[in-house]
Amino acid sequence: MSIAIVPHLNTDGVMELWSGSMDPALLGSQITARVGPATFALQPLQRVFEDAVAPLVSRTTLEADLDPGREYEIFARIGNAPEERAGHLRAPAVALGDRSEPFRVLLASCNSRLGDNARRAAPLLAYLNSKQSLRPHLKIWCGDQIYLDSPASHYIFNRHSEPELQERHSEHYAATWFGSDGLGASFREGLNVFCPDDHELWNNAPFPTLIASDTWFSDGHRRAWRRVAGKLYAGFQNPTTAPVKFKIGPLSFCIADLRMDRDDARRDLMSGTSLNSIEDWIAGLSGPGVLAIGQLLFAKPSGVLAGKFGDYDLQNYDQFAQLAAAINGSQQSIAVLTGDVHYSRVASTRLPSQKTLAEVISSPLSLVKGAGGKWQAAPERVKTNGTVLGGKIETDAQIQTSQESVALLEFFTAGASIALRVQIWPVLPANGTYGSMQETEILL
Amino acid sequence: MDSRILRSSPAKAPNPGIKDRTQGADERSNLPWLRKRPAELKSAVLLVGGTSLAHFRTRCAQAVMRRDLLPSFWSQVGILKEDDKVITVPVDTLIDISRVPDANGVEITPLGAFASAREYPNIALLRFTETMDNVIACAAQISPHREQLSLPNLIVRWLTYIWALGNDSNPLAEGIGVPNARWLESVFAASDLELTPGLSSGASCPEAIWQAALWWHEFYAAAAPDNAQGRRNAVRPSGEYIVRQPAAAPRGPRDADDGSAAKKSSKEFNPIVRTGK
Repeated sequence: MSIAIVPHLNTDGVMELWSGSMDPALLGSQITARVGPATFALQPLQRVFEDAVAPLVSRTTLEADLDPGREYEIFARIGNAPEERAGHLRAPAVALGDRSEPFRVLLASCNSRLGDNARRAAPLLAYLNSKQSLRPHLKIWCGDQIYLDSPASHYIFNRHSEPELQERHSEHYAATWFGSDGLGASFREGLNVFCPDDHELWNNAPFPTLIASDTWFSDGHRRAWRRVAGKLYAGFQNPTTAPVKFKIGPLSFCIADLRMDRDDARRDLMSGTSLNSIEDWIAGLSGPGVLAIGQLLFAKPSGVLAGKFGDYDLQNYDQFAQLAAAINGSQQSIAVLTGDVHYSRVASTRLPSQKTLAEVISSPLSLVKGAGGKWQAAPERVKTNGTVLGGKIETDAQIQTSQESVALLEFFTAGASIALRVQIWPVLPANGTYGSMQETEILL
Repeated sequence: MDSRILRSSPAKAPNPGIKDRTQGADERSNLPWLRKRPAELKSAVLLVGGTSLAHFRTRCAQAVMRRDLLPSFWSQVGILKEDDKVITVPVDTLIDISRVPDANGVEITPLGAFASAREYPNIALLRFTETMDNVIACAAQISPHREQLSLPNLIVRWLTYIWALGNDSNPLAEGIGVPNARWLESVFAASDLELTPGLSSGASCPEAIWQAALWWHEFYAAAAPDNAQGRRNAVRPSGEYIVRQPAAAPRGPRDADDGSAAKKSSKEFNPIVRTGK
């Protein structure tokens, strides 16, 4: 089928069928989908760029009456062509199961399509999806789903016009979303949420990066890149930068975009409206919260040179102090999910309320060339503007790897508490067979 | 939780479609029963439980997958085809070790190799799908791909356990499946049929497949056109089995066929004697 359908989960648990294609002939075509009892027309495909015939995308809110927790196949038909299977989704559950029926979340970040092992990710994701006891209920793509500034060997030496960027970046998205060895097959199977990080734009965006000469000197060039990358991000991943919030039983999720509205004065990570939305979410928690962000919470700010020529961290921004203060004031446990750093780690501390603040890092899925990560323990304390985030931060000894991998998170009720089990599944199977390499459990 | 243990099935009773044919089974050979197998089991999943040291240790290793921690009835799985050939990944009968990498450990064996009730007192045929044609086609497609599933790696790791060499701990405890079961699970997955729904690790094993047939029948039966993930073309599992040796026991060089001590003296020097040219 020349169209891909990806189920998204949005605020308040609203499901949406994203559809996309690189076939210009589908502009104006009638496309119908069938999910469970409902057959409905998808919103017509629209061009991402007014002056380019492809890619085409659309989003359709799923209004079918689906049983919570049940899996449904998705079928699609273009015009009068025969109906074809397009994927599946599992309607969000309304309660959290016990250890034998956990709510399973796949957490992945940093997917370089041009990485040496890029083609090895899809078989692992297919394996996890193939097993009832491993299949994620939800996939959180936690940043750098795409490296628009790769290959660096090209972008460091070549500058581009806006139409050239449109063409190159569209091809990059098309290969990742529609290609047989990209992430497309995994996107189609089960619900997805997307959280961006810098490579959805360019390394260390909005600041210039050494690896892309388009970003070096001219605001005009950076703005052009940003326009192109922003339209593609909105078209394929999230149409807005507002936090995505939903509940699964007593668990509250917030997927927060701390990248696309970031300023270049190191003041704001996001709009004031988004920050208020996160603050409200934390203040309103009635059970554990799960906060997905594109960079680490448990980190020290980058030094001036490291930030300018490498990456600025959340802690380099003035607004981080407000985010940290809101988290510090939480009366419920919070699990922060993130990626970015090319290693996987679990660390936790106690909030002043004596609730748990945990951080789970899952990175990379496919390592961008020349950027191998070196595993580091979390700093013992994170301090910002006089606020100390929680108490002493303990790094979990069980999860220590910089191998390409994904994390499979299982949330389940454990007596009066909620537990989070973290498994790290390497992309390159040890001993020739897939299996979790490292695992640990945290009580939230 | 220990991820080795199989997840409990929601079923309250075992699958009535799995029939016990032990009573009245031929004492010496599995062939009479195999020859009379019903049409729907002409091509099926074959399970055997052997008595060689390798099979015995494989059966014991799978105790960690059982709540009662007792050895499994089963030690090897394969695909029985209508032409009475079995596709499998043996650990203990590697005919030509130079061919193992190229063949990715996969062998086609005559069904007669499993005829002896002395060597294979336990045997079962299971049906998970309307037809095995697609499964057999998938076996041909995926078996050569060592980059995705390296069966020689698994075979070597299992041999270190069977022979108690070096790292001789139970491979299942490390999430390393029994090679033939891991292969069969991948073959079925390629045809969109999940063979071990109760297993939350890569540690596939004959026991997990047996429990899928016996206890996960509702999972397969619940497949509907709008809810077929992992069970496309599945049927409620059915099959037949003979279990002559529920408690695993090895047939060693000092043991007679009935398990009593052999008359020959126990010798320290006990080489393998090759016969013929």
